[in-house]
Amino acid sequence: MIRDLEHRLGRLLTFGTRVTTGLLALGLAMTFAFPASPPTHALLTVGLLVLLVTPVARVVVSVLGFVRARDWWFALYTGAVLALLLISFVAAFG
Amino acid sequence: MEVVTPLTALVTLMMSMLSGSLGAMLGIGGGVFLVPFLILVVGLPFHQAAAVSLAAVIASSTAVSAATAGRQLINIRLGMVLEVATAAGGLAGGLTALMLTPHTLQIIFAVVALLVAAAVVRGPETPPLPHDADTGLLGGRFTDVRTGHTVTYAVRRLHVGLIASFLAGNLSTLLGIGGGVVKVPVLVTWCGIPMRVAAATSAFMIGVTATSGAVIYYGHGQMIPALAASAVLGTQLGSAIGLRAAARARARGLRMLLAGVLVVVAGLMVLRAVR
Repeated sequence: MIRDLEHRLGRLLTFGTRVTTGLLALGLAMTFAFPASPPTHALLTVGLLVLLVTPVARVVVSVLGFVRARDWWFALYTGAVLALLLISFVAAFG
Repeated sequence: MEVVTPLTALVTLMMSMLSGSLGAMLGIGGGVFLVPFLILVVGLPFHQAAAVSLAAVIASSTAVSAATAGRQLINIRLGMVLEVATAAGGLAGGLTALMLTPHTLQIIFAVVALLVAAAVVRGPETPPLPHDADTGLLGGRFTDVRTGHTVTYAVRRLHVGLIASFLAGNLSTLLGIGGGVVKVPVLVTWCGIPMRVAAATSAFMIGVTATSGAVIYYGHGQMIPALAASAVLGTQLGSAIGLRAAARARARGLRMLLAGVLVVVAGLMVLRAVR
């Protein structure tokens, strides 16, 4: 079960890395070509948000993996990590 | 410092490549190098430096874990147990800030880093386990990419790892780092975790640790987007380089590099404290 979870996490993180790289590289190039333009701002903002959300997605996938395996103690630990992460999002954007 | 010049972006990208490759080799995010660089060279105030550094730590964690997942190196169970202590340490960071001045904190950090460096050089106390040994709930086995040997390990002295993780979370908020530089040496030296597993597991967790701090800084408008983008892209390039180097390096070589990093970090902390 933990092997499956690892592979699923690997795919998620590869996807997160590629999207972040694409958006931020384009956004950074645009910063110098068209400074302060709305598309530049949008690319950088979305790129950084994907960067910040990827670790949360990693914890969510881990919680689901442990729940599916009925590994309740580890589902609890991972759920606690997720709860604390969400508290910081609420504190930052709430 | 709101306008990011191409030169600043380029210098930040190159420095992040360097810290990112060291980070990928050792399972530390590289924040311990980026924060002083951004303060001393780029001239950012602490909070903006910490914000950019934490973004780079997340990028390091995501890129390194994407590459190491599926190689039995990331111990997800151990990582999640330690992360609970790290998150608690992060919450207690505010209390520590009330009790200690940054100056005192940096001096304590420097002294502890030197002591840990000495312990890392001396090496782990645990002999390797036989292949059929019981690994316990948190232990595991993996195949060393360089030697082709299967290594079996069990976690010892979990409480020491939990205390180190708590402190790592505590320092993460206060210093703008992911905390891997605290966790990896302790896991290797006192908890019986092989170097490669400690590095991969730490790399997996520091992104989660850094996210709490990074979103708070982001929400307070302290994140400079173009500079964060430079640091993230540089870190991603550096991670690819560091991972290749780590696969070829001996585990002992990685430990010595880690000890060297701790000594440099101690020096940087003293520099920041007296400045």
